[in-house]
Amino acid sequence: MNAPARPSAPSTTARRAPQAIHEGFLAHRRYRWAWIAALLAGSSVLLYALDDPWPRPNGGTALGYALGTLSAGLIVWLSLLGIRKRRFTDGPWSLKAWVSAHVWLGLALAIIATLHAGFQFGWNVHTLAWALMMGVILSGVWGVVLYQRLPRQLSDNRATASERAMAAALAESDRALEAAARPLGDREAALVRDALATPAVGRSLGSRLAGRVPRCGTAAALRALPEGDPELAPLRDLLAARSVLLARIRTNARLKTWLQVWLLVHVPLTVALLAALLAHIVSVFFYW
Amino acid sequence: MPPPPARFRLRQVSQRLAGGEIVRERDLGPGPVTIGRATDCDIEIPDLAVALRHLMLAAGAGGEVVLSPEAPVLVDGHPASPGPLPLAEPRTIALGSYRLTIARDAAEAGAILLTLEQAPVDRALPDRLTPPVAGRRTAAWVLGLVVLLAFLAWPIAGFLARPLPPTAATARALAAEPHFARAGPRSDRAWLSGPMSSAHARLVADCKACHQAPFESVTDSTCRSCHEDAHDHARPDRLLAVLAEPPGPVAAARAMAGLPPGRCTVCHTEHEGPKLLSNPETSGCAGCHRDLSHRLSDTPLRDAGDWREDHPEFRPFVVAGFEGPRPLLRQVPLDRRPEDRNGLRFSHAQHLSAANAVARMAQRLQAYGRPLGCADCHRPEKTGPGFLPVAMERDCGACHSLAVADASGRIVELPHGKPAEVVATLAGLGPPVAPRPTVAGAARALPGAGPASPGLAPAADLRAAAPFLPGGVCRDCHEVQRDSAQGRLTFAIAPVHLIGRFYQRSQFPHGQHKTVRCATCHAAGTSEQAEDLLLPAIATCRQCHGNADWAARHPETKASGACATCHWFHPDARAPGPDARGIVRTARGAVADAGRRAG
Repeated sequence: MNAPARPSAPSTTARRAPQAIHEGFLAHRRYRWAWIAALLAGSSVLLYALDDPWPRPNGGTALGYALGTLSAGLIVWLSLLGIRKRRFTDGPWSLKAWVSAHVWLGLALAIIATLHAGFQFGWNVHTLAWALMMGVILSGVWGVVLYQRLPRQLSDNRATASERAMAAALAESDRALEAAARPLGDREAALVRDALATPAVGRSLGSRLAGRVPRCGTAAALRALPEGDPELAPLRDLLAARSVLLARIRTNARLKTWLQVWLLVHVPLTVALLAALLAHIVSVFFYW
Repeated sequence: MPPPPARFRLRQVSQRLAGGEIVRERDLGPGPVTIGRATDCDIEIPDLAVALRHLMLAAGAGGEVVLSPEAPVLVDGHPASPGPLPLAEPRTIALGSYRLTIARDAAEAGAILLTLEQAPVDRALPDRLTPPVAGRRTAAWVLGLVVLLAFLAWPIAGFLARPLPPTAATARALAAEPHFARAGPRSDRAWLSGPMSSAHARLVADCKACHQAPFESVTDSTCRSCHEDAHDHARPDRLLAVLAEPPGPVAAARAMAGLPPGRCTVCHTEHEGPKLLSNPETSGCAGCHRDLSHRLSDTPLRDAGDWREDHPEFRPFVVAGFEGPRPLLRQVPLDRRPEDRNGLRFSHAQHLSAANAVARMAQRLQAYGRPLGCADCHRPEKTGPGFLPVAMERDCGACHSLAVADASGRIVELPHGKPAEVVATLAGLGPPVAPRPTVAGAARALPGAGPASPGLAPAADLRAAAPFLPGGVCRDCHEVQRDSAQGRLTFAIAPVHLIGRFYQRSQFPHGQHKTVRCATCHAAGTSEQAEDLLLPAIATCRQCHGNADWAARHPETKASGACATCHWFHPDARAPGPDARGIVRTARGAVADAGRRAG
């Protein structure tokens, strides 16, 4: 689910045009899946309101079993996106349609599964499964919000350059700096070596989410090399250009990390949910 | 012969992008060889970690090399100082990302081979820019396994390790005794679906006490291992015949899952909070009883679908007559005005009058001091919904005295209910001495002082027979059957049977109706005959129960129209009707309390 491909022409009309023709996964086919999900959740609420089971609504009534089966099926299907997303296809079951259904049906699941529980909660495996499910859904909502905001920032930051072009520019900068520093003294060589050795993107998750690299060699070299020395001027120019490039690369990496980090919650919680769902289903029938 | 001068050869190894190596060889002459980043070095190493002029190698006389570092150098990982470096074994110098190996050349005697290799550098371009966020997979595995182990494997292991309760007594002790607990893990607590009822609260530590087999619903036999004396609603085969679902997928699924209808757990729902629930819904009863006669053609029960619209008139048991001493009970609907031929002679109207002789006598007696009321004879049970049986000595004896005086004036109490002993007692007393106490306006007969009757010549016999003769005290309340066939005085009292509880399927909770006057429902003030049945008809109950208008005017009361207001699912043992009317009693027999709880 990368940002939609955008025309590279930087004119304002071209910048606005994609909004008109591009339909995001939320609005896919005029919110078809939003309507389906609302219908599903709405009819569940209606049935729940009309049902008057004895002694109270819970997962063990006829409607409770029905909503539970529906919820379990939804959970399994929703988690299959993890497999489905690895293949891009078009058509009515395109990946975009699938993601649209994933988001809207996932939101409906929060309602349907809560009705299945009949609002009965406790410190047990059943509520654990519910809580994990709500955690997955909330992290998914977070992901949707990120996907609504970050791709535009990402492409604005990149401007006309692709990621590959930025990588090529960085490699070129590496080569140029190395060549420029090679005839210079050992102090300058050491500064450039530190600049080259500093990773373009921070290694720790925290530094990547912050978009900073601690003790950046390029910035240190720029500070350490005196201005006005004509012999060092080309090196300074190269370092300054590299600094701008690195800022862009790090913003790019920061946004892309934010686009991934919610999955660090969403995916493991999903697996835990599938395990808790299995435990929930086995336990209720084990102790029928 | 002097050894040939040593020569240096350079062997430069670089990695091909597609894999494999490129090897270039170059002759460097006899040396010395300069090594550094500067372009004029013999060996130029394009690595910024290498000094412009890093070191110099010269050939020594004995085949070794002489090392002259200008920057710090590591030989085989150790800092090296200037001087000769023996080459018994190859030596390795680290230079930035490069590695220089110095060894004797095996191909050419006296030559020194320098091998320069660059350590492979892996710089995948996209990863360098946005390395993927790692840890998703590990976190998923760890979380998933923890949940499976803690909430699935561990509870199942605990269940398998725990033995079944060996006896019903153990199970009861588990539920009831505060300090009794069975050993074993409590690993399945996380499976608890809701709080236990307070009656079963202690079983929370021992799921297997009830959930005895995996994937099997709690069975009735498990319930009965403690609740041995719970009465069946009906004979199990008849109950099943009524409850049987029409064949279809639902019935098949139930049968496959081992969930037959009519199980204890269908109504008694556990894990729903402190109160152990039993299903009180009218719809649950009406589901079968609306058309029970269609479902069970030989049922003695009338169909009942709704309290206000579809409920038969009450059908109390009344005494239809006697077969010898045994009363014949019969169920008659109230709208057919049944008579209760209980064998007594009694007028409620006479006893409840405020002004007649009875009233005046009661006013004079210390025990009453006023005209009689209902409660003077009908005394409520201490515990329970009904009244104590009317006892002659206690409830009638203050007026209908059985006291007689013997010749010496000693007061003797005649034994009620034992005619032969009465005769014997009176025959031994001799003629009466005490004057007859009389009540103004009432010709009150006293034992042994009845009017003379022909045919009983001896005075003693006459006296003994007096109570039984017309006008005698017994005849106040009883019919007397004389039997003198054997030439002796024998009297028999016609049998009496006062019904304590008229209804088999319900018991009226008088205690809950204290605010209602007795006469509102029981027309005792106008009843002249003992046979009058003073039970109110269904219309009387409907004035309040299930009446929305009445409920609106009396919001503080709970005059419900639900079935469970008057009926209960498990019949108790105090029903007046004959046994085996669809009621099966368990081995333990009667449980007086069951009705009270349900009522």
